[in-house]
Amino acid sequence: MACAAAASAATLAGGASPTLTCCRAEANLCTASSLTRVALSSRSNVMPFVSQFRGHAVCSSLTAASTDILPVQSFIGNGRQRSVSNLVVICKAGSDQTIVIGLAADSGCGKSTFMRRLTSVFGGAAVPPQGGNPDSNTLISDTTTVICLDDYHSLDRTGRKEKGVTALDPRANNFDLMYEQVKALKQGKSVQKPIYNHVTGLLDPPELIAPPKILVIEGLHPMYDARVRELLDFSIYLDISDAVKFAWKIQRDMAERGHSLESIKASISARKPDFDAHIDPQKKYADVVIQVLPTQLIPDDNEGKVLRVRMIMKEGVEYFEPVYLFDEGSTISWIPCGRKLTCSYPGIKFFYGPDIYYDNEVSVLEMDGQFDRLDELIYVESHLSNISTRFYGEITQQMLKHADFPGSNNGTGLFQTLVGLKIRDVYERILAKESSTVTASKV
Amino acid sequence: MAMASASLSLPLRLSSLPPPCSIKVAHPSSASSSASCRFHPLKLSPRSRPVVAFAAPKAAVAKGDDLTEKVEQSIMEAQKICAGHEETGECAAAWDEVEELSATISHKRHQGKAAQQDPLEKFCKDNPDSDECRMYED
Repeated sequence: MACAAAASAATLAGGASPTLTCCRAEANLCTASSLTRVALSSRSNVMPFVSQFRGHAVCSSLTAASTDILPVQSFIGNGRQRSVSNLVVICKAGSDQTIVIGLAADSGCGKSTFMRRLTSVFGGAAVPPQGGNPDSNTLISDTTTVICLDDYHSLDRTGRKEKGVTALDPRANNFDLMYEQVKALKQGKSVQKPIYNHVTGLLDPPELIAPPKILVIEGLHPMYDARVRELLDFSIYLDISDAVKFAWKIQRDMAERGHSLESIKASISARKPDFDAHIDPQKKYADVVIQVLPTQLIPDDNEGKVLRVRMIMKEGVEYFEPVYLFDEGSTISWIPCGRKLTCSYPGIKFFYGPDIYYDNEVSVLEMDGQFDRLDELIYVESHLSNISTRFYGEITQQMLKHADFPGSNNGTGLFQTLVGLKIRDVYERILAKESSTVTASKV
Repeated sequence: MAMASASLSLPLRLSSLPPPCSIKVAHPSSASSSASCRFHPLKLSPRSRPVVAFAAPKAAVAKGDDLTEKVEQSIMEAQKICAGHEETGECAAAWDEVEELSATISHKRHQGKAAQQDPLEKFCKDNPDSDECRMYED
């Protein structure tokens, strides 16, 4: 606990012990503990604590006294006064628990729409770290830090070209460093994380990352290394089918100079063997797989505008209850358009049912089609269950908030928002469990 | 006479005036976004050569161009490397570079767009305590 660490790290002069108030805004607990005479064993124990200071951490519901920064004098040495340093001891509001979410996606980092929706559900906009490297891939909001796993490339662009290795290849990534730093962040320690500059293709000097409440690691290999996989509290895999990937890349790249249909096709097929060998197998470890496929409602559609999106949710994951339609565990096929709701072409079609995916029991929720109007969205929301919203209409509100994001009118936006709400739910449950064990141990 | 003297000084001052509405501005700059075009094109004497200068935000355009050039070059290189050797690692690495650069361009574009999106968001970033920006979350 933050305050316990402070207590053990400081010794007081003259026997006087001021009260250090520790507050946990979420659990609404405020315990006062007096500092007693404790010998400081090594300076280094204190520094990491001080470096965890986040100026915005606030015990907002409590009295002003609990947010004060208290200067504490500490003595270093074997009991005799050697040197006095003024330590600033800060009360960190909230729990020390950092939960780690892994997101596997093949479209570069910080991307995204998925990230922006996710951070929006938790509150606050995620922005690159202020005053640092302008080409940093990291995003930081009040509660969340998103780390791009490209930063753990061991080979830069020229290095990879020399060795004839793509970024998808595990040989181009430093999994040891990834594991060490994610572990450190999870334990509440700050790290100096390298930066991979996508513009220059070089590895830039590292940046300081403070441990956040929610750490999201996004990239190509979040679940590749077994040790990193153990650290993840929740994992998501974004699986885009080949046809849709092709359509999206055409939309993205055709306007650029230099690109042609052939170059886009060649680029996808050249990366495919590495992708299938190294990235695709991570699917079986994910707690949620979001599959994006071409629609079945329009025959021979190759524009990739109307999408069929399937959310494959693993059963039996701690703290996670899959979303369901009408009756959990049964198979439902649902077309909401009819007498109560009119939809325009091609309409909306839902499916829900249990399945087996890579030898795991899963529940699959599927949406094919597009939302045209607000009332379609709220109608669908009112029929889904286990959606972990705090109030009726939260999904619709989140979707409307980002109506300009791609996928806001189809299953991609809907399921990304749902996953965001589910992650928030996982986080709150972990916190609740932690605070109940703390109070239990006090008794 | 007055007309002649006015037309002589025109080329010097013209660069500070917004372009006439009939001219399509090729590189819209942030500076000109607030300025509108001139509705009454000045009558110029045939001897004066007006110069209309646009000042584009250097950093953004330079980076964008830089990346676009890089993408073009990397595509040509990849096609060269892969001619006849499609299965090799070098070919895959070359196309991977193309993919990485294309993704970066598109990402930068989205970042730029996102920053200019919502005027309310922009206002609230600078004035989070104002009435319009208060958030009520229970």
